[in-house]
Amino acid sequence: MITIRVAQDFSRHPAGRTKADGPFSGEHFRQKFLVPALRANERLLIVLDGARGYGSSFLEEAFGGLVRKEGFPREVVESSLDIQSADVSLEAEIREYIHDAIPEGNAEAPHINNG
Amino acid sequence: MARLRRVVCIERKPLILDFSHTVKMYAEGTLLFVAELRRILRETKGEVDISCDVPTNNKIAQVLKQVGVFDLLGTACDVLPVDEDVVSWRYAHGHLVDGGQYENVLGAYDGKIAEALTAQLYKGLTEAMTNVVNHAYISPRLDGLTPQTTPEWWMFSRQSGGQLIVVFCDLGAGIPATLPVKKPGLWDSIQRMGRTSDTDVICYAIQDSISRTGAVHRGKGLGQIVRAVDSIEGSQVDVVSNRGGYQRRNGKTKVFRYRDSIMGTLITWRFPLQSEAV
Repeated sequence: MITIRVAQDFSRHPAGRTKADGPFSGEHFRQKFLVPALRANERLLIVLDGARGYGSSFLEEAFGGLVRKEGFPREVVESSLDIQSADVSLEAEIREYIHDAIPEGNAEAPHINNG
Repeated sequence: MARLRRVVCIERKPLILDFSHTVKMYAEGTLLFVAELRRILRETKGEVDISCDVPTNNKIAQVLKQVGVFDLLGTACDVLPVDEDVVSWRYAHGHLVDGGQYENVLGAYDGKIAEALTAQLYKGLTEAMTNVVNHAYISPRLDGLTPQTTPEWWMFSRQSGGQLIVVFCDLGAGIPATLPVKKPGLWDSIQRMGRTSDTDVICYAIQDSISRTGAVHRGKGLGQIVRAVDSIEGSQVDVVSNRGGYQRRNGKTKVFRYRDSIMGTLITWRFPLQSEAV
C-alpha cells in the first residue's frame, strides 16, 4: 500500500480544480499521485490531516476526476482508496464524488498493470 | 464608485479623494474601494491624476496607510498604523486559486479560532477564489471600461472587538450575470418562474449549490462559501452581487435589493473569535 500524506507530499494548501486554476489543484494532485498509483494497481491510503482544508472543487476534480476524466472504473477507484481524516465528513464527500462521477466522452479506460 | 469611474475613466478629469469628513471605514466598503481604485489606476495608466490628502482623523489616516491607499496614490504620509484595530487589517490580492494566501490574511489567528472553523473558512475562501478564476470574468462587467479577462480577487481580514471579519471580493460580472452561462438549466428554470432579479438569482444559485449535494458536506462552491461559518453561534455571512444581497445569520436567511450595483461580488464572513466550531 502506498501512503500519500497530502500536507507533506503535496501541499498544505490544496485548492482549485484544474492546473490553470493554481499551483496545488485537484487535477495536479490526481495526475501526480493518484493516477500513477492506480495504473500500477496499488492500494492507496490518502491522509488528509494537516492541510488547511479541502474545497469541493479540489476534491471532486482529484477523486471524481479518476472516473470522469481518467476513465478508471468506479469500483476499482472505490476499492483502491482508503481515506484517513479526523474530519469524517471528508471521506463521505470523496466517496460521493467517485460514486456520482460519469465518464466523459473522451475518457478511455486506462491500462492497469496486473503484474 | 460609479462617480469615481465616470470622472476618472470617462471624463478623464483629475480627482482629489477627500476623506476629511470620513469618521469610520467598514471592511467591506474599504475592500471594494481599494479594488476599484486599483482597477481604475490600471485602466488609466497614470494618465489621469488621482490624489488624496492625509486626513486629519488619525484613525482614518492609519487605515488608509495600512490598506495601501496612500502608496497607490503616491501620497506622502508620516502616519504609522499602530492602533490595534488598524494593524489587524490584513490584505491579500491574487489572480489564481492560491490557498497559501490564507496565511497572509488569517494565519495569525491560528489558536484563536478553532481548527475545524479554520478548515471551513479555508474551504469558503478557496471556493470563492475558484469561482472567480473560472466564472466571475466570463461575461463583461458593464462599467464602460476595457473588459477585463484576467481574473482578479481581493481579500481582507479585520479584527474588531471580539469579532473577526473576513471579506472577499471580485470586480467581475457578478453572479446574476454569469449564472446564465455557468448554469443554463438553472437559468431556464429561474426565467420560467419569472424571478430574475439579482436577489432572486443569487438565492437560487446558493440554494442550488447546497441542494446538489448531500447534507454531510454542506454543499458545493457557493454552498460551501455560505455555510462556512454556519455552525458558529453569532456568525454571519453576507453575499452581495450586483444589486442583490443574501445574508445568513444564526441559521436564518434574509435577502436585500439595492438601488445601485456594486458591479462585482462581495462576500463577508463575521464570527466571534475563540468560538467553538461544531
